[in-house]
Amino acid sequence: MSESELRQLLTDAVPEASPAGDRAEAARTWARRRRNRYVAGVSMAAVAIAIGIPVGLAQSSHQRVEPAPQLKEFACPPVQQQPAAPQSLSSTPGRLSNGPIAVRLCGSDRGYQSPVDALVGQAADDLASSVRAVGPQKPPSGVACNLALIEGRRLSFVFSYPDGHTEGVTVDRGCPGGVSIGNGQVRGLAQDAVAIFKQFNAALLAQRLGQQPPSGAQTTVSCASGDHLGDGRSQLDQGDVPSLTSAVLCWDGNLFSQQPTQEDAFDPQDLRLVLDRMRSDTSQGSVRRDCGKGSVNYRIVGETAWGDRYVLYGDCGSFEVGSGDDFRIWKPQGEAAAILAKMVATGSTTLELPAPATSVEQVLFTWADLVNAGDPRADDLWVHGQPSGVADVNPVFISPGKGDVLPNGQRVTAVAGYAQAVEMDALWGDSTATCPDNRAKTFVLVRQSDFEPWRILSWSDHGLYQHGLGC
Amino acid sequence: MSGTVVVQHVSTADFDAFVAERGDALWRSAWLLTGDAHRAEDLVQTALGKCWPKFERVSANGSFEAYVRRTMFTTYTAWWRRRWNGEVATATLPESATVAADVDARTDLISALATLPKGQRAVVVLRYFDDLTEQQTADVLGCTIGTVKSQTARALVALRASRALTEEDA
Repeated sequence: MSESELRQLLTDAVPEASPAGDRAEAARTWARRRRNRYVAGVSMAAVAIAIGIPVGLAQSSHQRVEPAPQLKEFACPPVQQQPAAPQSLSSTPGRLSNGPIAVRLCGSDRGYQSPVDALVGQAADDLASSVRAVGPQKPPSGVACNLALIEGRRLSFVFSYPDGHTEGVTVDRGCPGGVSIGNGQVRGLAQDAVAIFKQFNAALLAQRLGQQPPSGAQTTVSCASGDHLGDGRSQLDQGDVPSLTSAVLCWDGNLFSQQPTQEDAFDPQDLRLVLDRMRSDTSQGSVRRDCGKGSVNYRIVGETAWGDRYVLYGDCGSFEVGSGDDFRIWKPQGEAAAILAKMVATGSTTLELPAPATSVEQVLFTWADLVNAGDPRADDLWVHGQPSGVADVNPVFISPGKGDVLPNGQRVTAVAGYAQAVEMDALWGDSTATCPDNRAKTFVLVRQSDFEPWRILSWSDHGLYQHGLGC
Repeated sequence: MSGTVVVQHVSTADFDAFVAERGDALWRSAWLLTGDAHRAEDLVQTALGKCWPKFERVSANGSFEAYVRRTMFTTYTAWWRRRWNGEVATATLPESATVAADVDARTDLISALATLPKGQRAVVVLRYFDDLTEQQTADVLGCTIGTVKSQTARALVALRASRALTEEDA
């Protein structure tokens, strides 16, 4: 397949755009909503407090006089295999009973961790009323997807009743979204689903006021803990910078990096300082991020004292805080920057070359020496494909990757005496050349067993790689 | 005061004209990135929504389309990092009037593109569909020309070796 054939293939394959309605008006609406979300987010705590009074929560001083029904233990149902399917719950499709005494937020993703506490009392009944009030679904006119996807995906609620039975409601904040009772017909749209979630969110936060988190609410977080959140950021919306009590810093390289995500746990005191700085030192308006070579993509994955999980994203080293007209950006500086840098330095397995390399060959020869010496640091360079300390060269190690051993049938005579052999290409662009401008070396690595280090049996230099790129 | 109103109207009309003229082209790039019509629409609209407040300023200083494209690609990579928006394989393509052979070809292409790292997929779309130069591609993705070259080469090697496309060619 030549480059021109690829161009033709791409052109032929792309379908005609579906009628998209008024994209321009949709964009302006989206921008306005984004501004409004920011304003709403800033006053989240105040809203929660305000809602807490009228809903008459079981723990408040406005409890009803009659004794509350006994709440039986109930849990989220098991989640189906992805892609998420509606929960199988014991409710009548389309009908949600009156009088629930509690409701629990559940996920539709196998890794989702539900909040440890259920919303109890009148607030649960209020939520059920809101669900029942959602009108029939009217397909959105014009734009196919109303930008709702960014709000997140499907969640479900399990309502518990005095007799111990449960009924389920699925809310889909995606596109076009909606609310479904017991796998019944979808009603409403994404904004209805979002409103249901926000009502639950605010009432649960209000319920927690004055309460202590249950023991054992927190778990051990890792970078993977952030992979299963409803909207990619949080289980519950508790403002821009939640009060995390434990967290890990995760980091990886740029878009092209093959480097696996690395992580290191925060010292609690350092975590408090970093979050404090994130709250106080943000820059309003556009801040150009440095996404160039060497930039690091951070994530802080953590939990609150209640065990609610959050992810704070720091693409290109700068964290997004809030979601206003422009993202507010926090670029770590001073003590906070030093904490992050120290964590990366101590937690990173990035290979530092003995001396700054000035050519791809020097990088490869250094790597070859490490391989043949059985130095485990060679693995890092192999995985990263972008050694540090190298200016404007981009060696790329291509398949078969590490561990992908050539099958016996493909072995050549030279490696027949070894139990395992891998042929690996190092391919890189030479920005100083004109056309053609890519070069390659092929290495053959061998070893006798999984317990031995690889060593380089031979390599060959293909010189310029004939792709005709840039011509 | 009246002058401000007029500027606003002109800006809105210009923005509408830009979207009407270039919206579908942006959508097609987004479709190659996401492989899904709805996500492509979301991606385009998100990028337009982010860029609309800056329309006047960016248009006065240069190409607004380049700005939208950069925003679209950075949004695409940001979604990718946010895991939850990962691609969902689908056998259902949205165009009802499409013949089966076209659907197969699309499915094969999307399958092949899906095997590429996100950055390589972006490079392929920018270089071979949007016909950007290496420098323009590097500008959009915020990387060096060297990275564009090496990643393009790697993507081509991977696509040539792709079983989906190989079988299609055969």
